Amino acid sequence: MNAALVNPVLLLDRLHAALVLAALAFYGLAGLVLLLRRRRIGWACFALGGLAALTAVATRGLWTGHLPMQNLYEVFLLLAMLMFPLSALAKRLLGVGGEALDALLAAALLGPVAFVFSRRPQPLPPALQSWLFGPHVLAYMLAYVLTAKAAVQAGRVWLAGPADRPAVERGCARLIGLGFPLMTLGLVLGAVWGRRAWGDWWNWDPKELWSLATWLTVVAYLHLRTTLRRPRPRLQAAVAILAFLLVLITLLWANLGRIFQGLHSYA
Amino acid sequence: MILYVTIGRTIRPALLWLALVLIVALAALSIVGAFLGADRAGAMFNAPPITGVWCLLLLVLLAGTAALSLRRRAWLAAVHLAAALILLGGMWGSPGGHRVRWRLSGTRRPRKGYMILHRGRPGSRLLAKIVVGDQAAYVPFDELPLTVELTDADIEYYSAAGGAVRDYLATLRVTPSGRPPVERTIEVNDPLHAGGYQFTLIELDADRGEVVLLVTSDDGLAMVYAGFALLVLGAFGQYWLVPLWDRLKGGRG
Repeated sequence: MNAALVNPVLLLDRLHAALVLAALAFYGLAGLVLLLRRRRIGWACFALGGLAALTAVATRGLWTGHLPMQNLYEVFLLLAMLMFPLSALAKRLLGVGGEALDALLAAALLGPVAFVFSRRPQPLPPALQSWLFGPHVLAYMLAYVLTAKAAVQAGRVWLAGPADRPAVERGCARLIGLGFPLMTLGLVLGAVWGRRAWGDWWNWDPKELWSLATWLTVVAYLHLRTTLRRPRPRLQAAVAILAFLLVLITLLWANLGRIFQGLHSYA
Repeated sequence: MILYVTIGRTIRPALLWLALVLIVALAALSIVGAFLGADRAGAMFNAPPITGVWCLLLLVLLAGTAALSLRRRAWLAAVHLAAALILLGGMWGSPGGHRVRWRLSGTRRPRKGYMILHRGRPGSRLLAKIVVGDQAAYVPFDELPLTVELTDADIEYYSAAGGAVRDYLATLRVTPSGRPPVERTIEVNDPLHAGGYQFTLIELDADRGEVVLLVTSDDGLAMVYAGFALLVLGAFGQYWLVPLWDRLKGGRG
């Protein structure tokens, strides 16, 4: 008899792996269909991808027994899961599109989850056993997805003609505005957690400094809009793209790079 | 009135540009600090020239708070005031802040240090950690105005997962001078506050009955936390509630 049928843990693992593959397939398909401007089918695939990713996150949580936000496998899965609801929210609430690229980005995030990162669960180390773990990571992940979407809009500003640039840049600003409070919340919760776990609310740790640089760049973007007498869409867009590059460094390089050894090196 | 408007028109853009320059400078310094490592970055951001930048930023934030109309831009004013509070609390609790208060009041109050405690042997000696290469040594440098005793130390393990550590637990009895003792079990992420200090568990050896604690002064913390709360509230108010309110008003109109 197949071992997966008698072992519930193994069954959950197989189900989870299948859901990740399903989410990857639906997201990829959604991206392609939306690029072909078949909106209804595209959004349906996008929603199915989001649902499969949500179920994959839930099964991962059931399997590991903790919030699945511990390592890059779980964080990438979470980011991909958040892509659909945030893309739909941005479209409906802010009138900002880019859903085809969102779906393709979600598929790209699920690529390493399905084929590169180890699926093996790890027990939650004592440092991560805190009520702040979930809210801190979730606030940051939501902010990071919105910054990624803003960077896509910022890229469109550079490609658009002079007449269209201000309108596209306004979409970028709305996304940055939606993400900024979440990024602030993530930073503040991290500081409160740092005080409880490491003794100080600010430890000058490399990851802390990269996240501060990211937050300050977003603040600079928001200030720039007020400071400039007339809009400079391409300059503003360049700052938004810089903020996203700093997000990538904070999320990936600060954890994976050996030169940034610090308190966050376990993640 | 005309003078007020004229000054406002001249000063406001200058203030905005100065704020932008300071924000960009701090972002650049944060990136430089990330390459230096925590110890050297901490020293850099606490060095006199950068302290000048912090002070200038504090003034700009206070001026920005004052310049923002409370009626029309209350959330934004809250964000600026919050950042000023965090900066002020951070300065109050910083090594420099402790040194200045020591000089002015004559009362020395250590800011931060380590304690190595053995079960059943109370102590109040504060140690500095000196790291050379892979080796770390603890050197006594001050005394706390209280005594701390380790009454129990334990390690909990996961039943599965190859016996990985689930938690480190240490029971402490802290006796501030002239006050009744406080006794509590602390663990990772759950420190003890007593006598104006936080006692954080850093290392634990259950077999030897030995723990290493990080002792941090609570000075300035209330101001920082008030700033955090106001910053989050102001940011959500300005960037979520105001657009939502405008949208609802527009919908009705």
